[in-house]
Amino acid sequence: MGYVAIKGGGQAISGAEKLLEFIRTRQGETGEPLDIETIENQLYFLHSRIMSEGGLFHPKLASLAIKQSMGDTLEASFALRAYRSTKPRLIESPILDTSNMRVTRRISASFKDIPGGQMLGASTDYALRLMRTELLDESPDAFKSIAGKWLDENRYDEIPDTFPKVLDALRDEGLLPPVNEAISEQKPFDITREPLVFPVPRSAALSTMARSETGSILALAYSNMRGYGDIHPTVAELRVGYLPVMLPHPITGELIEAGEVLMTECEVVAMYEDEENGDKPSFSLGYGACFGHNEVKAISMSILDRALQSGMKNGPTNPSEDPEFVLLHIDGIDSMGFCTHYKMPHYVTFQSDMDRLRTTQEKHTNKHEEASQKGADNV
Amino acid sequence: MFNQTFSADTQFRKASAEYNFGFLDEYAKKEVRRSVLKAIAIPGYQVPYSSREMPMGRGFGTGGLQLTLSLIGKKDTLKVIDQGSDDSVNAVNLRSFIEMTCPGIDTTTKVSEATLIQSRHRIPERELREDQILVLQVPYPDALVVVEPSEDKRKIMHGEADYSRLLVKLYEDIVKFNEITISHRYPTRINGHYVIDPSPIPRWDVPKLNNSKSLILLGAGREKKIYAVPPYTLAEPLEFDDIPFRVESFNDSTGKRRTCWRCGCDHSFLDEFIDAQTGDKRYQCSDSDYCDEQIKSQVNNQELEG
Amino acid sequence: MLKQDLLGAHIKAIWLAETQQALFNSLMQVMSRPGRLDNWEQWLENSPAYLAVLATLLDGEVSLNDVHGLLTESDWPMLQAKKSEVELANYLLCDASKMVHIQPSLGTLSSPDFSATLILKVAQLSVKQGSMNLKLTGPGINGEAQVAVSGMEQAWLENRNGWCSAFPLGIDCILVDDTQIMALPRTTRVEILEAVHNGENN
Ligand SMILES: [Zn+2]
Repeated sequence: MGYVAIKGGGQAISGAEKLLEFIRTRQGETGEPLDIETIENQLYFLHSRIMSEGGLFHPKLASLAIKQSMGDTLEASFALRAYRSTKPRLIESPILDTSNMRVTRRISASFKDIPGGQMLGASTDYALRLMRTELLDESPDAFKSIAGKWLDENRYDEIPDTFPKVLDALRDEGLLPPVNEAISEQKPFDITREPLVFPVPRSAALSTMARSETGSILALAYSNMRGYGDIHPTVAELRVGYLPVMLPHPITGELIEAGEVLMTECEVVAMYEDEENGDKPSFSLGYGACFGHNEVKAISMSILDRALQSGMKNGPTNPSEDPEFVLLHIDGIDSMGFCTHYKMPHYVTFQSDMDRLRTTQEKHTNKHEEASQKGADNV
Repeated sequence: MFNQTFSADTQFRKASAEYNFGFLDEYAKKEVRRSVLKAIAIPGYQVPYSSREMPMGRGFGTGGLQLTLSLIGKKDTLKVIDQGSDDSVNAVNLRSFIEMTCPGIDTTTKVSEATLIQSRHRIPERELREDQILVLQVPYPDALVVVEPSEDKRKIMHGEADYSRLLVKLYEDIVKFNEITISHRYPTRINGHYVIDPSPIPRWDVPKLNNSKSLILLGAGREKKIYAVPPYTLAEPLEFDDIPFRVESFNDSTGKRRTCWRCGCDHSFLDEFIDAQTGDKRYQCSDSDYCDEQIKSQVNNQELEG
Repeated sequence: MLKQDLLGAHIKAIWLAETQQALFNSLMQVMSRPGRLDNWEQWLENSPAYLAVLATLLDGEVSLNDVHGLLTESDWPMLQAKKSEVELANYLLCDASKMVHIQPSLGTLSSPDFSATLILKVAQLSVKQGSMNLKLTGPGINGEAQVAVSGMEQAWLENRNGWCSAFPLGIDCILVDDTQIMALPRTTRVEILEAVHNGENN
C-alpha cells in the first residue's frame, strides 16, 4: 500500500488546473465543447502542425491535444509527444517510396511542364489575405452545403492517384547525381531511441527536422535564404498527399498496407559544387518531409538539409550549416520546456549568487579604500 | 475515452490507467538503466541517452524523473525535494506524478526513511547512507559549455581531460574580481579525470559529493545525458593554491555565524528572506526536513531534561 | 506491451518487468561497489545467473556475442538482442574458465561508452578464499576490498587489466557464478594476490 507524504503545495497546483479548466469552459451556457472531428477538419493546418511537431500520426489524439491545450501549439505537440514516448517500438516499416503518394497537390518551380502536370490543389499561396467578414456569422446550413456542392461539381475521380517524381526526370538527364544505393541501404537513425552524438548521420538530421517546431525551423532556414548561407534553392517538387504505410506482417513478414499518412514533401535543387573526387558536376539536393500539410516547414527543412550537408562536408561557415546549432535548437518541446522552467523557484542558486556578489563587492570596496588610503598617504 | 470529462485535478489519474508502471515503457527503462551502469563505470562521463519526452516541461526535472522512474520499484520509499523543500510546487508536482504512475510505492519527507531521493538544487544536510540513492536534476550537464559551445569539441576535451580553458576562465575571474565568481554549478573533478557540472547545487553541497556513501546519479533530460558520482569516489572542486574553493558564508558583518530563526541551527545552508511585517532579514534552513528534525530533537531533549 | 507479457503465465521471473527492476537495482549496487557480492537465487528459478543479467539489460537496441555458446537457441528471441561480431558487440557473454583471444570494443576517447560490457561466467565467487584472490581498489570501494574467484583463467584478468589501462577507454565486467554477481568496472584496480594454500587462514 502506498503511503502518501504530504499535500501542501498540491493545492496550488490543483487550483491552477481548475482555473485553466474554467477558462476553457467560461463561455458557459452559450458555449459548445469543441468536438474532435471539428478540430481535425476546420483547424486543418493547426492539426497538421501538431501531428508533425508531436512526431506522431494520430489524428484523433492530435485533435484532443489541441482541445485540451486550448490551441497552444507548443503545449499540444508536447502532450502528443509525451504520449508517444511511452509507446514501445514494436515494428519497423521499410523505407517508403513517396512516388506511391496519393497526391492532393504538387507543384514545381523548376519547370512549367512536369511529367504528370502541375496540380495546384488546396493552397493559400495566391489567396488575397482579406478579412472574410461573411464568415463572422456563418450559417450552419450554408456551411454544410459547400462541401457537397464541391463534390458534385468536381470530377476529382479523373485525377490519377499517383504522379511520377520531378527528380527522376532530372536524374535521367544526368543533372542530378544517381541515387546512392549504399546510403539507402543503411539503417536510418531513430531519434526516439538514440541520442544525437555529433557528428550525426543525415537521417538523424532529417528526422530531427521533421519533428521540429515550424517557427524555429523557418527562422533558421530564413537566415540561410537571406544571406547567412548561399543555397539558392529551386523547388523541384513540393507535394502533399496521402502516403501508404507498409508494414511487415508480424508472422509472415509479407508487406501489408497498414494505412496512410498525410504528408508534405519538398525536394529542392541547389547549385552544383566542385566534385573533389573528379565526378561529373551536378546539382545538389535538399530534402524535407513532415506529417500533415505544412509547406513552410517542408521547404525550410529541405533548405536546411542542403545547408547541413554542406556543413557536414566542408565545415559550417554560418549557423544554418552547423548541425549542432540547427538540430539542438529547433525542437519546440525542448526549447519551450526550458524557457518555461525559468519560472520555477531558484532560491538556492540565487542565494549562492548573492553570496558571490557580496564577497566580490566587499573585496572591491576594500581595494578602493586601500587605494584611496594610499593616495592620501602619498599627499 | 474521448467522451469522458476529466475533472481538473485528476487528469493524470484518469490517464494513468493507460500507462505502464513508472510511465515509461520497459524498453525506455532498459536504455536508462544501461546508461546508468556506464555512467557508474566511467565516473563523471556524460553518457548520452535518447531521453523520452515526459509529460512535464524539459527543465522541470525530466532527466531526474526518468532516472527515478527507471529505478523505482514497489519496495522503494521516495523523497522528492526542490530547493531543499518537499512542499515546493515543483516537488509536489513531481512526487504526485510518480505516486500516480507507480502505484504501491511509499513516499516520505524524511531523508532517513527514503531509499530513493530525487532533488533539484540541494543535497540533503544529513549524510546519506550506503543503501540510499540520490538523483539530481540537471539543467546544464556540461561544465565546459562556458568555454566551448560545440559539444563535439567538448567531448574531445573531456576525453583528454583537457580543462585548461576552464581553468583559464576561473583565473580570469580572479584577476578581475579577486575571487572565483562561480556561485553554484561549481565545476568538480571526479576521480581525477572528468570535470562535471554537479547541477545547480550551491557550493555548500559540493563537498558532499566527495567520498559519498551513497551513489549519486545526475540526469539531464533536455540535454539527454546521464552521469554519476559513484560512492567512495574522489570529487574535487576546481581551485588554485592561492585561491581555494570556498562554500557560501553565512557570517554577519561581525564574523558571527547566522543561525536558523526556526531551529537555531548554525551549520546548515540558510535561505534569506525579508520578514513581511518587520522588514528585517531572516534566515532559515533551506533543508526543511533537517530543520524539522532539529526542532524535534530539541523538544525531545527538553522533555528528557524536564 | 512487452513480449514477455504476451506469452502468458508460464513465464519465468527473470523476464518480468518487476523482477528486472529488482535485479537492476542489485546490478547497479554491485557496479557502484566493486567487491560487493549479491545473491540472486530467489529470482532465478534455475535460470543461470548470466541469463538473468542479460534479461535485465538487453533488448533489440543492443548487440550481443555469445563467445562460448552458453545460450540456447530459445534464449535469443527472448533477449531480442542483435547478434554481432565480438569486436562490435555491446555485450559479450564468456565462459571465464576458457581463455580465448578476443578484442572487445574499448570505446573512443570522445565516447568511452561505446565499449563492451563483458559478462563472465565463473565457477564460484566468494568473499573468503578461492583459487584466485583479488585485492580491489578504486572508485566505489571504501579503502580496499577482497574477493575470491574460482573457475577463471588468470589470463582473463590480465587481459582485462590491459584493456582498462588507458582510462577512459576500457571494458566493464560483470562476474557471475551460479547465483551470485559482482562487477569490475574499468576504474577498479585489480591486484591478484599470492595464492593462499588450502588450510591456511581458515
Ligand atoms: Zn532550521
